[in-house]
Amino acid sequence: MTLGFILNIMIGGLLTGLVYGLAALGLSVVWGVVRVVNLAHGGIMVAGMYAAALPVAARGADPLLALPVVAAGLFVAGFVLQRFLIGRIAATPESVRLLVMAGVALLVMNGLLLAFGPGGRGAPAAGAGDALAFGPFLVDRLQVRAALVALMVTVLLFLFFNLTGTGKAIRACADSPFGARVIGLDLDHLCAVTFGLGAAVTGVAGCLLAQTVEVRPTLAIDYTIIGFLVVLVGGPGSVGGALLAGMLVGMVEAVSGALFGPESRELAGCGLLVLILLLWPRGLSGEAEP
Amino acid sequence: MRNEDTVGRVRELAVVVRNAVGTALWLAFAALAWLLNLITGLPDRMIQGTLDLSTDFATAVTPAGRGLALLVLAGLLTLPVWAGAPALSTLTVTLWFAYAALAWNIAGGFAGQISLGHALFLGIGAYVGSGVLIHAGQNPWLGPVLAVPVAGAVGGLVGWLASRPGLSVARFALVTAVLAEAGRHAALLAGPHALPAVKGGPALFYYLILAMVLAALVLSRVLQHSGLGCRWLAVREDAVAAAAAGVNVTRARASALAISAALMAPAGAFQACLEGGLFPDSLFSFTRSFEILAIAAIGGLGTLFGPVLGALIVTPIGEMLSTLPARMHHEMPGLRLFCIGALLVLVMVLRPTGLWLWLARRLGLVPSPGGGSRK
Repeated sequence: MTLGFILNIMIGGLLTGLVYGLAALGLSVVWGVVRVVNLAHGGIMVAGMYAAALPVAARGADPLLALPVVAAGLFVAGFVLQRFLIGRIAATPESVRLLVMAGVALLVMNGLLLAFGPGGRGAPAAGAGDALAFGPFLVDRLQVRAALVALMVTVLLFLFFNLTGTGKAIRACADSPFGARVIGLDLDHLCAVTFGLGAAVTGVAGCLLAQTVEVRPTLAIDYTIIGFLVVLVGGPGSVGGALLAGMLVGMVEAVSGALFGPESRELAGCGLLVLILLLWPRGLSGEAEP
Repeated sequence: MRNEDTVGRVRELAVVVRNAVGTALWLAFAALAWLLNLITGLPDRMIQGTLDLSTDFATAVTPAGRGLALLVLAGLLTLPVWAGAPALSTLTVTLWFAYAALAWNIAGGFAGQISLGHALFLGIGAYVGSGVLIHAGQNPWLGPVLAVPVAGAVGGLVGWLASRPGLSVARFALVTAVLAEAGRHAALLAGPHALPAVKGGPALFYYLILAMVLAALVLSRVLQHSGLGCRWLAVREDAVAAAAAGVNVTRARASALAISAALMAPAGAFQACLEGGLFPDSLFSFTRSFEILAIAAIGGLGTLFGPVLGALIVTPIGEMLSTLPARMHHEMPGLRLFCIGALLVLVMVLRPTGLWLWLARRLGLVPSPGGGSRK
């Protein structure tokens, strides 16, 4: 077990972590603006994974071809969900909103189970296992590609929030919903757009993971937990925090998985969370509660 | 060898317990008398008007409500005499969920701390209560006694960790979910384990869980009207105001989760005995946590009888939904939880305070509120 081996594992974890970070970004943005925790996070990711696995199973096509379709479909689904369900309960106490989302999470997770059955599906895409050599390091080609796409989507999201009018308006809603209403912003519409964006980003992350992981409905639980973990470590509502925490969680899980076996992965992630809660209860970004 | 010894000892004990069921019946009637005393007697010590949510079966009740309570309790107590085995087993499961939802309701309802990870305490209850003690060749009935303080301590720790200063209800929920999943993975490392069957017959299990539900109801009533219950309520309604009034918010939240977790542990031990083994995926199940909170919320968050009503509505329907497709040779995994999710969303959007208060007022079991009601 040389240092080079550990470094290789860490790089692999870092690349997966970037995708975790992208997924958590969806969760984090919705939390920051709509003030609702999307408990169906993992379910949406797995929906994206299934959508990506279908073209692969049909004609061996590249799963990334499904990406725009997944993003568009989940944007519409998220938009409708926010407009017609979650927007209606915006004035209820936080606990009621959480419980509604718990119901939605049950619906999505078990809807997937009903639709696709409990078995696994989807062969890894063509080119799985190909390795690229960067000096002494070997990295999976598909993982590099997924990480690059994740980074690209993150940059696009960042540009959207900082350059476009809609993006700036959404950030105004996050800062102060009351103030946003006062200056005449359509809060309901902006919240729905945000939820749609969050769902789309989460689904895209699922698509990226589907290249290397076999899809099963129970993965929804694992990815929900990883999403929670990343957001709690990074601090909700922060783009940089989510990405940084994603990489951190990916690395910690990969290293502990390689050293102590696959069952220890989640335990290591949980240990990280406990540590963060003890040291910086608000997460790495340290921002106040949205 | 030791296992056979244990089985023999369990059998002996089961006989003793079965003989004691008669005594237990009388004790249950005594408990009923106490409950009725609570129902009819105690004045509401809360300030009028601020606490409409707790205008519950136990604080004010009409004669119709009292009669119905008596009728239901009499029916439940005599059930093994007149009901068949399938009904008895369904009702045992129903009461199990009622108990679990009552335990969840202490943290989720009274203190407003929505926990998404109560399966953690089920698992701890089962593993500590059954696993360790049967390994050591001890009496399985003593197991839960040890499990209760252990689960309570873990609950307190989790509660403290998840309500560090500056953390909201949502973050509390997420932390509990992550820690429960960590518990499942820790249990997977330990692996599943078979338990010697507890020879008690279905009636024993039924009366045991019925007694547990009654005890949990009485405890909930006492807690709701204690000083601690007042602090929980204050923190739930407005944590900042509560802190300003001198309530230690972190301690109140942690104590709510500790008591809730301690109460959850016997349910885990009970489930392990019913399933005849320790199965990490079933005990620490993520969806089980959701099912329990759905039942409590559908019945009525923070009410006394809401969780029981929720279990009475949800569990039989759920059992039907999971057995019916199987009988038609068409497996549909997920159908039950899908429907529970739909029901939860529906109730939370239409009646956020749950079905119990609405139904009880509709049927005239409790007097309708005179003044302004909470939105």
